[in-house]
Amino acid sequence: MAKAVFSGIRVAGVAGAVPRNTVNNLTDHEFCPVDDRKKIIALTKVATYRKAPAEICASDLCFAAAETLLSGLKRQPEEIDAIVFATITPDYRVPSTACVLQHRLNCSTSVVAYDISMGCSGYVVGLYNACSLIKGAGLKRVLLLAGDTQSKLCYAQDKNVVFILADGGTATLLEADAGADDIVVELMTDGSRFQNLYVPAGGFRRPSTDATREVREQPDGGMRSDDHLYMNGMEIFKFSVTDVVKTLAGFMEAEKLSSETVDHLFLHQANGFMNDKIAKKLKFPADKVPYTIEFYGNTGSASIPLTMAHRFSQGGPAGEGRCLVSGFGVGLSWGVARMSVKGVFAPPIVELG
Amino acid sequence: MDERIRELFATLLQVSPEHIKDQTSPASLERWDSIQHLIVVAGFEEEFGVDLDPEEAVEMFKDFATFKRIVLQRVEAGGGNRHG
Repeated sequence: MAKAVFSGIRVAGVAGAVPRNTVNNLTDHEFCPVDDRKKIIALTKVATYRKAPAEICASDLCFAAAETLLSGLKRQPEEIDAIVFATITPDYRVPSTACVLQHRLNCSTSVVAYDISMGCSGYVVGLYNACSLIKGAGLKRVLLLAGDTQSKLCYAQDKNVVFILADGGTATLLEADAGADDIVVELMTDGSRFQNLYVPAGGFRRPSTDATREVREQPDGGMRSDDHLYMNGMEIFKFSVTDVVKTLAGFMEAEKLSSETVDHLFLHQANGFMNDKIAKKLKFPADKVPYTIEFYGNTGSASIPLTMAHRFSQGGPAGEGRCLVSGFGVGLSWGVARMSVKGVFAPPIVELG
Repeated sequence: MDERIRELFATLLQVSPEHIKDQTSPASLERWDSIQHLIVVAGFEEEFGVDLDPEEAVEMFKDFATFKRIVLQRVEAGGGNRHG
């Protein structure tokens, strides 16, 4: 079982960045009848979200977040020992974007830097990796970057995704600290269901061609090309409210956690209806389950840390800072973690573009 | 009650009630896709004052007979009725 207890690691800070460009789900997306737009907003809670222009990549958003975070914490780039970048929207197919970011951030060439190709579970998977580097390899400081420009994967008239999937980038600094509370992470994977949320073409299994780029009616009735993201909405809903809830509930039981002993449940910002159902299943009151989906949408791997950064930079009550986080999505991959954010530094969200 | 469920279902889906039969399914009714399904489920929760389990919401995506059966079970089990 991929569950690990990491002692002696502190979450020093978390920062977020989003594109300045805002999409309004009510007034944009004119391909969809206005009554449907209103209903989709009511259901998903996504009223607006941020969409990156062509020239802004997930790495740019994470870079902006990282710069803000490191300067705010008065940390020098050479103090970073590793860069872990969780994204499904890298700059290039080769190399890892984390390598490019090592140079942009002026980090030492002695850092270890790599990407993790994970979407909505990326933050939790990244956390597992970052903590492993500190505990296993003895590194002192790891910069965990999590960000995506998912809007670039979507066909503009695919209503299953275009009202929800958005862009954002984050940076979290993890530091060795003997006095810190344990971070516990559990990860799950079920590749048998990968085709419920994927881009069929454009990789090496099925390279992009004129045919895969052609927008056409697909077997499920939706319009998009094979180079666009496909989501089987009902299967993803089912996965989220069954598998993810089961893992969360089992984790809470094993860790002796309850909605009384957890200050914040940070869920991946999937969609409002689904997240409400998950929180209700776990008996969490609404005030302990922060949302940013109303104005940032579903930002993939960024959504959990972006919600944390928003919550704590706005002076939201941190309590004792006992957090339960859960990311879930492409893979299918999902994970749960408990961590303390007591005293975490969180600067205001940066806008780019 | 059956007719009320059918009419509300049709209204929320913005289709004519004549198009809704027990055997109607997402495969046979183009409008009944996953996002519309969740909109309809949320509409029923609001109208009948019930809180459907996520597993039920998934099961209701099979066909209208299943959808209706689960709504009836939940209403009979003690859901409120917010709108008369």
